[in-house]
Amino acid sequence: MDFNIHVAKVIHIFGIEIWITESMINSWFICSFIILGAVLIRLAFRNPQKVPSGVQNVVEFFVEAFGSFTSSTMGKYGPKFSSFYGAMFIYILFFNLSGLFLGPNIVASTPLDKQLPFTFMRPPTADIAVTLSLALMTFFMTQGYGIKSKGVKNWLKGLTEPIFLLTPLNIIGELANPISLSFRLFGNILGGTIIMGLYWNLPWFALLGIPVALHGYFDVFAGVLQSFIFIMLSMTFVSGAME
Amino acid sequence: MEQIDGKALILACSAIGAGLAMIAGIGPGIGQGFAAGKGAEAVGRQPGAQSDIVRTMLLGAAVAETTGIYGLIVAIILLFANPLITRYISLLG
Amino acid sequence: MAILDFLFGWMENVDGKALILGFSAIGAGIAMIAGIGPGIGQGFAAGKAAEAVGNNPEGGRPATIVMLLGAAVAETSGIFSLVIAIVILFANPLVNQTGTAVVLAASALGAGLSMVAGIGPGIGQGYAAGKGAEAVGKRPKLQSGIVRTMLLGQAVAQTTGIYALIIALILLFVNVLNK
Repeated sequence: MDFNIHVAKVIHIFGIEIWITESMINSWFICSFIILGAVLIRLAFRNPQKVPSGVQNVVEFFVEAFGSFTSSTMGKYGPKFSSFYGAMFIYILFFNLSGLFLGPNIVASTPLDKQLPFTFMRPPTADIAVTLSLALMTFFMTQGYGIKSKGVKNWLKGLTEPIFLLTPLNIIGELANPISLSFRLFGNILGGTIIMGLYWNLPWFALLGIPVALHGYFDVFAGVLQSFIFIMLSMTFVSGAME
Repeated sequence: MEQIDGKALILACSAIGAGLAMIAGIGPGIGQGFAAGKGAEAVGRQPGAQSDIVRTMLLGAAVAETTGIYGLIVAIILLFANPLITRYISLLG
Repeated sequence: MAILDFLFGWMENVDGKALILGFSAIGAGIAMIAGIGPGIGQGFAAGKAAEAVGNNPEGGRPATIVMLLGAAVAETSGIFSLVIAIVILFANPLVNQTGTAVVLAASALGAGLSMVAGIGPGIGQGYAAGKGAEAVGKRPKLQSGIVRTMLLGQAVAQTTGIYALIIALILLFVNVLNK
């Protein structure tokens, strides 16, 4: 039972070594599904009626619901960010839920074991590289929009908030945000993956139990909640920086 | 003192580690107890909303359970699927 | 000095790798003690949310959402110690580091001990989640302001958990004590 990330291929381009890992392949696999879904929905919108019906109705409902959610969280900056955060929410949500589906089996490429070509997919968010990149995106957005809306001088003055002595604490507080964001998502999904991995390796009588409930709690509930938390915190940080 | 067998030492320390991991059970114990108390108090004040109160209380208690489950998982890993022993054997081999 | 020799003398005639892995097991166990914090904190949040549903049933749904949000943020210090324990167990970085075995074993134990600090943020963030749920229960219309303040406060309360995590990661990965 090993839970670390397998490396499918190592590519050398102009002397740079690039490792194609299991998380990257899974994320390409999932993104292709999301893009396929988006294209299908776009086709359903070929002739938008005034009174929406069927697919158009459902999609409009979700877009409006998310738009009102972002504007309630971010105040007047909401509409500007609702499309970005909508895409990010779908991206993280499908990554977290991917533990339930079957995906390409990287390990099978090794000739030793004659495993099936597909296994339970390892969620790409159970990999610190993926979650840290998402958290850094939020971090640079926070600082960028803070500088853009308040100007560099005010932004620097903002760091020495109440009294000058607190500057190091403020700086560490700012740096702590991406770390806690990335480790929270990474830890939850990795914990869920490991618990599921252990559960499926128990002897047969344990499996007569209720694997659905465990999957339901760890993969579905924790997955949805964590992607919701990540988006909520990211919005709060960005809108807070623009105040 | 004669030479102590490496595997025996790891198993001994794994037992101690598993025991220590379960101390995390104090948290959910206290927390869920508080939740149950508040839930009972709320049902006493508003019997009509009992189903909502109990649902919220149980939902909160389930969320509070997770760190207890993580402690249990680490203890079970240490006891049954001990990765440190396999690592030690692979280092020896 | 006989007592020291008696207490720690046995470490000499033990294989270095075994000593490191043994102390790693204890370190992983101790790291999980941080689960006390989120347990208490999230229990407090659950209680306050149940109370909010009792006081003002129509304010119940937003109170539950805020409780879930706050409790999930309060979870992080428990998650940090789980990540450290899993790193120590599955991907032990200390075993193949060069250096005296006793120092590496002690740094594995130290990493576990430093994660016990997760109790603080767990309780603190849980308290914030409970008060947030209670406030939203009373005034459901003010939910976005209450949630933003709660999340900001919880992010600030998280910093000591981050300090503990950074020290634990330094102990595990950066070969500081091994000259």
